[in-house]
Parts: sequence; C-alpha cells; structure tokens
Amino acid sequence: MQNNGLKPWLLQRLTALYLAVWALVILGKFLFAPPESFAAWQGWVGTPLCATGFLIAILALLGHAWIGLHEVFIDYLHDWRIRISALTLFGLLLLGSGLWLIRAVLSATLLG
Amino acid sequence: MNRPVAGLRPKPPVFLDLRRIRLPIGAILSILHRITGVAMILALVPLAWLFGRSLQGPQGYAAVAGLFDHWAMQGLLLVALWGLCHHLLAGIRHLLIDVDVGIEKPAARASAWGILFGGPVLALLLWGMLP
Repeated sequence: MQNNGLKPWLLQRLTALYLAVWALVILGKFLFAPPESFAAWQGWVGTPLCATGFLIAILALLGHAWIGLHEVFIDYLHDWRIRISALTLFGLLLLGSGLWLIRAVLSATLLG
Repeated sequence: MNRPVAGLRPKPPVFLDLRRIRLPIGAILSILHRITGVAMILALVPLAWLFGRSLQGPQGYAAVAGLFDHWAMQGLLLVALWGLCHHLLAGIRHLLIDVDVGIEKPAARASAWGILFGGPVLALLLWGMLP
C-alpha cells in the first residue's frame, strides 16, 4: 500500500460511495420504518440481503477508516515510533469493533 | 536567499502563529473532514457495542432503546449526526471535485460554506425526525 498511492486513493473513493449508500439505507430505515421490537429489528438485520449489505459495509468501513487514519497520521505524527504506536492502537480498535459488528450481524442471520 | 547552496539545504519557512493564520474556507472544511473522520472511528467502539447489545435478545434491545431515551444520549446522537452529515456532505463534494464538478473557485467556496452551515441544519432536521 505504501509503494503506490493510486490503489488506496481509489479504494478510499469506492468504499466512500458504498458507505454513503449504506448510511442512507440505515437513516431511511430509522426515519421511515423504525423497528418496533427486538424481533422486528433482528428480522430486518438478519434478512440475507440486509445482512450481506451490513457485512460489506463493515469491511468497507474498516478499509475506509484505515486508509484515512494512515493519511492523517502521516501528516501530523512525524516521529515514526509515535506514528506506528498510534496506527497500532487505532488498528486494534478498528479490528475489535469490526469483529464485534460482524459477530452481531451473523448472530441476527443465524438466530433470526 | 532560498536558492539551494551545494551541501546546504534551505530551511523551510515555519509559520505557526495561530492568531495570525487565516485559513481559507476549503481548508477549514478539510480539517473538519479529518476531525469528524477520526472522531467517528473513536465512536465506532461504543457503537459496535450498542449494535451488538441490541441484537443479543429482547433484554439487550430494551436496554439500548432505554439508553436512547436519556437526554445525554440524545445530545451525543445529535453530535454524531452532525459528524456524519458533515463527513458525508464534504465527502460527496470531494468526489464531485475529483471529477471536475464544482472545481472553479467560486463554486468550490460556495459549496464549502453550504456544507459548513448545511451540516448542522441537516443534522438537526434528522435528529428531530428520528423517533
């Protein structure tokens, strides 16, 4: 990723497009058809189409966030030790949150 | 005097007096895009927890729904909505400028001002409409 600036640049824009669409889907859901109960909420998230959309969104979010962090940290954290530490810390936060989100979506699909 | 001399690199000028720096509107938008981006990454940890809890069972769902009834949570939600609206709108502007739409200086400045003020308005609107 470090050798060639074009790939992360393109990936950042493709994930941005997907995340923009998915943000509108979630906002639309809560604006126009908010879940009334646990069963309704689990049922909606667990629909194959919706669960797939969520899983792709989680992966897109992790990639988008990681590329953005990389760019921001390169600009402001000049000491490589601090930069590596910050990237590691944020990377673990992202990974942990991502796995937790994936687990939640899968549980809604498998149990719902 | 900035001409490079053999073996001597000219020092780049450093200008960091915060009271005298005047940022163009595009730069303010860009910094806010970065701040909202990093802030949303930090918010992802509690968000992932809330999402997981809401799907754990009827009790977890009720607990999360109850949390959102609290005024402090509603305040956080409003701030989060602003961050999302700003990042999303500024991101769309970024993508359009990438394909040469609105790249002229007056248009780019106008869209930047529009997002700076439109973001909070849109966030308030969504916040009011959400159940």
